Amino acid sequence: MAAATVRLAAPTWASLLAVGQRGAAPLPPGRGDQRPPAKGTRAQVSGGVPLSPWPEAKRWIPLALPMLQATEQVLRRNNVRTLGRKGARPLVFVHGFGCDQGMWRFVTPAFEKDHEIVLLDLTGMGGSDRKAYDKRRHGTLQGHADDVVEVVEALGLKGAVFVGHSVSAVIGVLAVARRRDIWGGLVMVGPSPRYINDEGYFGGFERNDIEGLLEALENNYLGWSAQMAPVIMGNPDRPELGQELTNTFCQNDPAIARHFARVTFLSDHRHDLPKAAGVPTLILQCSQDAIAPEGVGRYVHEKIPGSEFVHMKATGHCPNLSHPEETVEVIRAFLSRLGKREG
Amino acid sequence: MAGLSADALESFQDDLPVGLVLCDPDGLVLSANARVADWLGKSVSEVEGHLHLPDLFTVGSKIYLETHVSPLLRMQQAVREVAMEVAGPQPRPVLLNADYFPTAHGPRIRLLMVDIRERRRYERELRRERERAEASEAHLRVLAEAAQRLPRSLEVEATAAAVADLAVEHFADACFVHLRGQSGLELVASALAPHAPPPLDRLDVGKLVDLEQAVEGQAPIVDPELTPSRAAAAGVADGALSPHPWGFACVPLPAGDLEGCVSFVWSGIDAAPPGTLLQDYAGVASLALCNAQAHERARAAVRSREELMGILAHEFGNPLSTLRIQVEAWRRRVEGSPDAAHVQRMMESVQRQLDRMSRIVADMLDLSRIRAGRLSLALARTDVGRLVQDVAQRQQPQFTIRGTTLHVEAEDGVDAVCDAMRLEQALVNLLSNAAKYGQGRPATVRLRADERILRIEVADRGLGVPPAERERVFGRFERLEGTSEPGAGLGLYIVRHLVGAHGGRIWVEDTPGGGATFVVELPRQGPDARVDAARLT
Repeated sequence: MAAATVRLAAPTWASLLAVGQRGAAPLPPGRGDQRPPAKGTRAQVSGGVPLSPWPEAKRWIPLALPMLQATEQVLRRNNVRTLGRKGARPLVFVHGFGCDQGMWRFVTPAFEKDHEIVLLDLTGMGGSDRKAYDKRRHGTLQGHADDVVEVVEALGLKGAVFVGHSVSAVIGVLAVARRRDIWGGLVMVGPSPRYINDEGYFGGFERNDIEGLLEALENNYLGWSAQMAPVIMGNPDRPELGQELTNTFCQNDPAIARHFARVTFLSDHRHDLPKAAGVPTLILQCSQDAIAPEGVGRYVHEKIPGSEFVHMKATGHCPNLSHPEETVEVIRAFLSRLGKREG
Repeated sequence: MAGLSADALESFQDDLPVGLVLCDPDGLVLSANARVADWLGKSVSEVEGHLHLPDLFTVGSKIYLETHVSPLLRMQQAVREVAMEVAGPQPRPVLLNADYFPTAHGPRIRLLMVDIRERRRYERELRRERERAEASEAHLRVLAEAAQRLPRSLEVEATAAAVADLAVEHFADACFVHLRGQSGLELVASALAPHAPPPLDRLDVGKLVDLEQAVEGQAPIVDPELTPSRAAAAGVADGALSPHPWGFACVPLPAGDLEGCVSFVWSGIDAAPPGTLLQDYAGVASLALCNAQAHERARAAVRSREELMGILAHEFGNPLSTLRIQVEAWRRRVEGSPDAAHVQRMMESVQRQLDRMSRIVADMLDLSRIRAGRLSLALARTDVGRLVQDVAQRQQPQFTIRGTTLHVEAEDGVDAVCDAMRLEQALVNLLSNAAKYGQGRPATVRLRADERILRIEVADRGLGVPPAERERVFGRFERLEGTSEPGAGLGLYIVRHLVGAHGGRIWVEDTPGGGATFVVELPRQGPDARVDAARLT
């Protein structure tokens, strides 16, 4: 039976091999070649007689190729960019609802020297592969959390710190719960596990308010769906900045934005918060945050045993944009405590 | 502004049909015109120095401001024509322009808002139309695929499985198909989307809703919020279904031949499939299921007819054998008596009829064995040359009584691995056909072989078989034109199966000069070496 399987598989390998050779580019040495070639298995099932007509040395190529392709696919899906110092502690920055990885541009430079920085766009947003947005997989935040976990797995990172803004703070909790072993810490910027008020819980919004948000989204996409650019124009004094930004920032597909808005604002992950316990967690709370009020931040702090809570001077919901210095300072202090604890 | 005093300028600004606001970088409103205060239902003094930027807008717009507009304003220093809604006794749709504005006291944010109530009404209408069109397009796509894919299988269970599979492919996280069986509504098929939590498969839909009620009442039962505790009561452990929310619907198959229902479970925000889609889907599913059921019933009827035939053939076989032996014994007994010649003739006639009946019964037995897949061969290396000669010799009388002859072209020693009895049966069949349909003209049986393949040709010089009939003659109960000879029309059907069981092939072609030639090709090394790919050259 096993021998038959090998025999059947051979043509598939042959075609893969052909693909591998057509490009004539040798595969880069990397994580792909860590998978052992199936040599032992082959010898076993066929009684030591190699069934493959291909030279021994090339046999691993067809096996490693699909894996490399999968890795590439994941990185392309989430428009992953890596910066900073390779091998240093990785920081994975994940943007919130409404924007993309551009959100972090005032923050990441401060960490480039001594950290490996991973920037990504949630599936469906920014420069990600929009075709990969699956209304069902991404019908809950878990789908996005799994995406981020896949990115970290594809990069082979260990001890990474998840820095999530807004809804992605909770996505961070879900990602940590999914694979605790790959994470070294969690930074939650303006988190909220549930935006809608509930009995004994003040999230800040009523269900109807979310309809208003959808309405606002809808109104801003109508007629110019694929181009946020004509609406949000650049700084007349710094046209180069405007040009760059309008092309990359906040350009989201209207249907996806609407769906993600509902997924974000109608989800309830209060019961998932304790799952982050055990992973060093920092909560950043802004003053006068219209999206995640202080009470909510404190609620998150209370539900994640061992978490740290920092009340920032920064106002609004996006301290990473409005008060990058303070944001950097607070995260840096957390990272150094993390280093001391581990070191 | 030239030509206007400060007071006049303020009054000019207040009267403009636009809202004007100036904020500090933290968003505190420093100055606002009367129009804005009017929209907000407040006085200018209640606004200035008291409200922050987000306070100017309705909650939905406030979220949009915080998540989209403010970040952009921060990054690009300006935003233009963003649709927002100003809070107030009557929320007011506006287009917002904003930018950072340097002053002697530092940067300020200035806002200009234009009232767009009329335009909004029109846009809303447009949007609703578009949504309707999009929804029905998606809806039609699913139904079109269902109509195409579901009828592919002709078995109820496989069709039910396809119904469940297609649903999870397109719009459900899990789908369960119940059909009326002997013990009420039984689960026939279920499917789970790849991303759905596996425990969902254990969901006992019958505990979630009264399926009978759904089917009897012909009305869908929908539960837009399937709570974990209800799911737990239906067999899915508490916690397995988080995160929320989950929904459920049980839709009865439209009243018809087949009673049952299709149940759907979905998860995620905005995931509830439209009710019309579910009902239409159940309609298409019902059609395919009813078809499959009708087909299954028809096949079951054919099967039971064949079973009955097998039983009858078996039951007839034994008494027939006994009768033949008895007739033979009587014939011997009357030998030498005064009426011997007369009785002999009668007995011969009886014996012929008995032989025919025996042959038909044997054919029917073979048929039922073939249909049940129970035809077995006793393989051995056989001298086919000798076998052809022997059979031809025994069949010669059939030709003699029709006033003609059978030519034999076969040499001893051409051997093959085969079941000699079965090969003889096939040959007898072909030769008696050649006699029956040969129009009293001579026929030929010819044996040829190479190392791998052995070919037997039986050629007559009768009417031949028209090309269009050449497949049909090998069917069950099919008879050729051109003879009044009796027969059940099973002979060639059985021959084809005997040849097939040997790994060989049979077909019919023209005899040069007129007539039919039946060609049999067999692999000489037995059934494992099929002759599909190679033919005798």
